Amino acid sequence: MSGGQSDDVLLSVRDLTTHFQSDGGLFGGLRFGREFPFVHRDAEPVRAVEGVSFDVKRGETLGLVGESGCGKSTLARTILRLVEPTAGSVYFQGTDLASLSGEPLRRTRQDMQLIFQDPQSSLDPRMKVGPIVEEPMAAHGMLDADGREARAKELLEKVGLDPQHYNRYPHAFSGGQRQRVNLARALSVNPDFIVCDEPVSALDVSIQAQVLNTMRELQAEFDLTYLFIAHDLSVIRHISDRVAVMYLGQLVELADKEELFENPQHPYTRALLDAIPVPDPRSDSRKATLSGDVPSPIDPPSGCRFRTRCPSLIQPAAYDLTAAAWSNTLAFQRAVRRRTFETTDPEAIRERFFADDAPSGAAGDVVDTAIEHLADEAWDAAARLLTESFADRSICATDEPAYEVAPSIGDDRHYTACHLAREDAVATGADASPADVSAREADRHGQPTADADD
Amino acid sequence: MIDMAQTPSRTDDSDESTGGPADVEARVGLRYTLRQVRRDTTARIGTLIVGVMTLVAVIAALDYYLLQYAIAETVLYNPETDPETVRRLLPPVGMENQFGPGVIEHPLGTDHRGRDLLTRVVYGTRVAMTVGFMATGIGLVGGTLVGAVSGYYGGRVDDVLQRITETIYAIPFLVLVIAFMTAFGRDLTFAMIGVGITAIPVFNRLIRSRVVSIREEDYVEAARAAGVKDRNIILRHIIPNSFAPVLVQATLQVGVSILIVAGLSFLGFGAQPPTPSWGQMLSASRGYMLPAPTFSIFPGIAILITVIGFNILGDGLQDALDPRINN
Amino acid sequence: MSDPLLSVRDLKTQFFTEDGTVRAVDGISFDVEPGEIVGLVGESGAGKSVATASILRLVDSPGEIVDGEIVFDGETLFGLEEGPDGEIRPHEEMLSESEMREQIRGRRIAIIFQDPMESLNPVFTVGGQLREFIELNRDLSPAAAKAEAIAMLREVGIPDPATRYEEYPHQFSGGMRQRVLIAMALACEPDLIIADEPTTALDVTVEGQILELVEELQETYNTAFVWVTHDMSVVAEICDRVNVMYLGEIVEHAAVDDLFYDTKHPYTRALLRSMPRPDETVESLDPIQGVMPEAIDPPSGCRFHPRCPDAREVCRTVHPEPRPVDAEPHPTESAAAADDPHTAACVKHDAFDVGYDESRPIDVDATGGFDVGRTERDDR
Repeated sequence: MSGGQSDDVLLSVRDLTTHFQSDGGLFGGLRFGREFPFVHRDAEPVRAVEGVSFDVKRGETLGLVGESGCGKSTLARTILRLVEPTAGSVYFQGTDLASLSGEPLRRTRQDMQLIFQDPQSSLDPRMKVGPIVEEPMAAHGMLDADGREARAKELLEKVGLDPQHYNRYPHAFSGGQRQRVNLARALSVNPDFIVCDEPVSALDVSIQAQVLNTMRELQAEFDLTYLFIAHDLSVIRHISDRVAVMYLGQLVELADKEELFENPQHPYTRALLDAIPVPDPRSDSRKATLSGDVPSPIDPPSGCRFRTRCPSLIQPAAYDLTAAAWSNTLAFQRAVRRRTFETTDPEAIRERFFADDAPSGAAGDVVDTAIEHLADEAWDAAARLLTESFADRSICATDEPAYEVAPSIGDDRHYTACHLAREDAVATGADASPADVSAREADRHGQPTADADD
Repeated sequence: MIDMAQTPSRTDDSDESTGGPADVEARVGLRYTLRQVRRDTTARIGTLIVGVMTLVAVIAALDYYLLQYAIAETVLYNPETDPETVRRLLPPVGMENQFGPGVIEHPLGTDHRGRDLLTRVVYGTRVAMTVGFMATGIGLVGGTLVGAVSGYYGGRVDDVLQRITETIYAIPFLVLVIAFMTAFGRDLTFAMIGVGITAIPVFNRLIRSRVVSIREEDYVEAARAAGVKDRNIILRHIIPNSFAPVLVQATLQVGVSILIVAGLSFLGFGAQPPTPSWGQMLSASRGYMLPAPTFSIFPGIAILITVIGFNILGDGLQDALDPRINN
Repeated sequence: MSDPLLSVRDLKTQFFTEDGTVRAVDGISFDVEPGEIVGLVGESGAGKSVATASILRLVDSPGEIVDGEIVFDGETLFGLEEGPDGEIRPHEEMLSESEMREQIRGRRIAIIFQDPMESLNPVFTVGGQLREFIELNRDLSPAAAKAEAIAMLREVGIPDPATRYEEYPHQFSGGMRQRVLIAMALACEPDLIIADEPTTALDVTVEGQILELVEELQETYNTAFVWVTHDMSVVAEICDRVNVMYLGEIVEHAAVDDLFYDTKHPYTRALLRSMPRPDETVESLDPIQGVMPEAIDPPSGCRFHPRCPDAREVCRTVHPEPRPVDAEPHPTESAAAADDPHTAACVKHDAFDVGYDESRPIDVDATGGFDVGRTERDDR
């Protein structure tokens, strides 16, 4: 699919979805029941990546940040087709990678490379470093043996290593140096696009700085485009042009770097930013605003996946509570669900959760009933009632959010998957796709677009 | 307890020395392994035994195939022909049994046909080593191929291949080999092939489990991401890194194969008379256990030493190839 | 001022390998007062983990504590003395191995490791492991120990502890597991907890929760901590006083505010400058040149001199030990400020009188080996 492709966009990811079978094998997914035929197939996939869309511009560094388990590594590998996508498409330089297989796919790999997190395990311990750097060249028939050796030595020097170490084994190098070998290997085939999967996370801080500097220099020299995955926001801030934030398999925010750090729209992004420690004993200690654990990707929450932990969950339209009352009610609902307290005495509960402002009206009735349940030790009933009445009725649970807001810094589009933006958004739904080119423009140019019905 | 390795998730930067290229010795590869083997006394003894046996076997083979026992006849006796003077079942020199006193010409005595035992035991090495290496070789190559392909591709391929090898594994090997030889032929060649086939599941199992874990290693994924062909990934990355336990198993397997074929010869399959083979000698000596026990003792000792030699060599290799020590 | 809870003097731990003797810890001294959090900061290879293992005498062959004195609450954990024949032997007051095991380890000094999956047995329930720990160390009956275990789980913020008691480690997330380890460490109400990089493997948001928890618990139980980390942000957040280690030695010791705002050692300063910051965009990072050498063959004189931007000739020959480098007293958080000066092991301070100012600067690029990280664009 080509024609009308903007020169700017190197990679277009559209609605990319990757599900894994949690139950594999011959008998995978079988469930037993009481009724005939007693056995049926019920595959519950792990929804590692769900409907992700974005573009990567030529020459930029797109930072991808998220905590462990958010799916960023799976996303990276799906883009490179090291993992098979379940749905969606990946357009690399105009070609849909999903339509390729076998030899054509293998040859495309020359243009897109991957750098791993662990410098130790990403190099074959039985191969010398020189041949390691040459291997991709040999796989794509570049140069001849002598040419490859010369180029390998040249690359070793480019990344800051001694070309005389061509014949050394990986274990003779330090972590930072091994990572440089990784860089050299990735560069050997002149790729346009490099996915860096947490390349500096396993390195000491001072070595991180060295390697990051080298990566920036190489990017300028070789005109590279990076998709830089990390969980450390400080590193992301240093190296990215634009930043995407992932949570539980979905993109929740995408914006220009400065815009994201100065004007974050999504509560999860804000929580991440609040949680970063600052190396300064005089600054306020960070606020750990998130509680609880990340939900399972097998059965993620409906609507906005972050809603079970979001401190800014939106009140259901049916109620009309003050902000404080709603916040208390929400805290109460979550505490009951997670069982973070022991007491069942109504007085104590009200004192603890509703001291400053209690809900009235229908909401108040629900809370009262729940407290009665608790007095009877019926925790499950209380939790169910509260969850159904409050959390499940919020717009955050019923509608999937997708909004674009006007950026306060720069011109790049600012995408946020949060209903808090519904009033101020400049675009919603399909038009708010985090893809670089808007859907309407794309139609005109015959570009790949986000699905019109999401 | 803390050992020298640094904390797990942080790679340390203290490996780097600031000198020239050669000052950090390689901890992989043939040279290093050999050096480690040399340090271990048990392994050295094993190497010695295996080395000597191999040498003798090679000379015997040369003599048999090319020189028509010329060497044997000069130094010892022709191991196959019945001598003219029939001095049967003599004991070793210095001892005496009902058949007469031991004589200096036959230091270990004679067999039931009057042939010199020393010669036959020495020349039996050829059969033993040939069998050991060939059978193990077949098992190794076959098992590696099946295991590597099975482990790397997984899925249907894995299922089918594994079910086949398990079937082979499930049949008692002696029954399998004997059936094989009954169908194809009773002599040594088919003994070797049959035993080799029964060894395939053993190596397959080893290789496959190593391949399945190495397949998940980052450097394999890196090779795939770089666009290296599957075939090359298996040959250059997966098999070399899976090979250590296989090598150890191979040394043990040689001993096992020798024992099996000795057993087969005992039963009448395998090396046919007059080819000297330890198993066949043991079989022949059955009838003479009480009157001439030394007839059976010497072939038995030969088997014992050979198998022990391979086993302790295997032990030594295992220590030398242990990645924990290497890293 | 009362005696410190833990006093480490001139600790030396070495590993005897076929390649040579690795001087992993080469003469460090520090104190821990009751109820405070002392940081032990350094990069990989600096020797922090070996140092903490030495405190509990958990160093095994080929490693050995070869010198030093460790005193904990009046008990000698390690000490040497000269015997009648002049030979060096363990001090007679030194606790025996069984005394260490029964009285000290896990009871009065507990340790929390970095990877909870390594410390928890995957085939036993979490509650069971915690209960067993309490039973052994506090002489309680199984029933009482179980009740205590559930209480501890609640204390460290694990919701619905009675149910989670029956679950296995793999059913817990990383942060939850670390809370369990903290519960195990606190279960016997130790006086000192050694935390060896307990939050390194955790996500930033979870790390924040754990640090908050530790601060709360510390107030409740008044436990002292030795907090080992390489992360300066964590140090800034929870430590009261800090020791910076480099290649087996402590190069700087200060109250936390002084360490960041009045840095005295070039290594500490270089470390702080090489980190990207989340609160502002840093244009270019300032990495430290070179890599930390091996502890088998440390550089002569000052061990940091091959990488130090302030290095001079005299640094090659003089080996500095930490000396007080502050003349004026100034307000700090720690009450022991006057008795606990800011020390640094660097000859450029006036406390050393070796002619630093007259000595010729050495070109860092020219010292030792191929310079990793240097490209033509670095103008230094």
